[in-house]
Amino acid sequence: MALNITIPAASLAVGAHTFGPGAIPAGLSHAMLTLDTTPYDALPGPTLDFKAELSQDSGVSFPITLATAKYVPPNGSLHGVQQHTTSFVVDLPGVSPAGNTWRIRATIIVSNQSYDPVNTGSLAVT
Amino acid sequence: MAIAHVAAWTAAQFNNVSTGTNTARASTTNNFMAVGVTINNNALFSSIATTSNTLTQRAPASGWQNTGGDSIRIYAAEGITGAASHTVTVNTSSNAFFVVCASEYSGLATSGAFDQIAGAGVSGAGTSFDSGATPTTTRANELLVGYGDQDAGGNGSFVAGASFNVRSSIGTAASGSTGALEDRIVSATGAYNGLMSSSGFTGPTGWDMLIATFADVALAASNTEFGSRTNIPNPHVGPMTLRQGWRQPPIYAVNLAPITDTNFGPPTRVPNNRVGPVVLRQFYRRPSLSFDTTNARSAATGTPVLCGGILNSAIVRSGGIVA
Repeated sequence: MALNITIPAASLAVGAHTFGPGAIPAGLSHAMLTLDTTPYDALPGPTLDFKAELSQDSGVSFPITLATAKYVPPNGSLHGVQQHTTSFVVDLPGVSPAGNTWRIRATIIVSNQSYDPVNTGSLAVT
Repeated sequence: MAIAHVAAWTAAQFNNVSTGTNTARASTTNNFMAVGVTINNNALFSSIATTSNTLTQRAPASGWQNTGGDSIRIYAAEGITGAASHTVTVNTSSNAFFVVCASEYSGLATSGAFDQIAGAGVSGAGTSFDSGATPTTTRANELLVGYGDQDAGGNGSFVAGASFNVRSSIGTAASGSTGALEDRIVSATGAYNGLMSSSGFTGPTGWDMLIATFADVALAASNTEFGSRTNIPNPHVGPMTLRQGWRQPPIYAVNLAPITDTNFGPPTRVPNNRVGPVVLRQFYRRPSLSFDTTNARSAATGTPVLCGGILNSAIVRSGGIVA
């Protein structure tokens, strides 16, 4: 069974915002963090740093940063198609074992506006 | 020490972002690091960096391999400085879609390991990748690093070519670019192809494949010219300055024959009755001398000298004084 941590639509204040953690079921191998960066209004989209972090001690600490990325408006295009979704995909450090104490969380860091609109997003482990 | 695979960094796909850093892992000093990169628009690529080390582009020799759509490169760092938290970061000038795959090896030369490359791609359907053959490798014991990408939709996976092992790969084409890094360790010289295939993708529209080879010992410097060629004029064989510490630039048109009978500088007319000191313009040739005696006069009588003079080696051809 996959794990899905929802990132709700919100206006995020400057600073770090954490979503999760969630327990990783056994037998999963990679994580995908996705954010819908479509602007709510005519304002420029947000500049965001985002990352997925992994704990192997039931969430006491998150020493493993699976990946980090920076989104800067405007959106890029893939094969000529304008994109409004920002994401990264990265493998877990091996397949999650049965009875594991792994936890995963997403962090979004807002740095350029007082409040940045972020549409829905998710951190999916499959 | 034989060449061996140590471990791979987790492959990472970054979509619609301007900076992406993969998962950190510990690396060991003096090992070797190979990195494959895919990007959907290479004009947006700015830089690639890795913790405490410098990555050098190895394949293709310049630019990108991008026949099939997305663009790919192989980078390498030889004799790395190890780090407990070693990452690779790609920066782009604007949001882009890119993939980073990396792997660490031991047993390679800590410098001068890079040997041969090949690359190819196809625009259109196809799931079997072939870089084409490298020139014959220099050393028997070499590491072959292959990197390929599939332009397609959906999600798929990569399958190593014969005798290769895929170490790091991303096949989620539905959300962005793809890529797979593979390797093969050989023990004989030869012309090697980077081979790989893919499966499970939707509607493949192209692929690209690169291979780069790296040796277990430093390869001798090739016979490379440094600086521009300079013709040395005859007969001026002057001092030569080495432009590099260990290679002498090629020398062309050096004539070691005896110096020929050559005039240096134009003849100089000596004013009437004023044969002053003569300065040779060169060390070993005296300029031709000629005297204009047209208006010379006898010092005793003041009678003009009608003709006379000295030409070459003080030979008086004719002359006299008319009283």
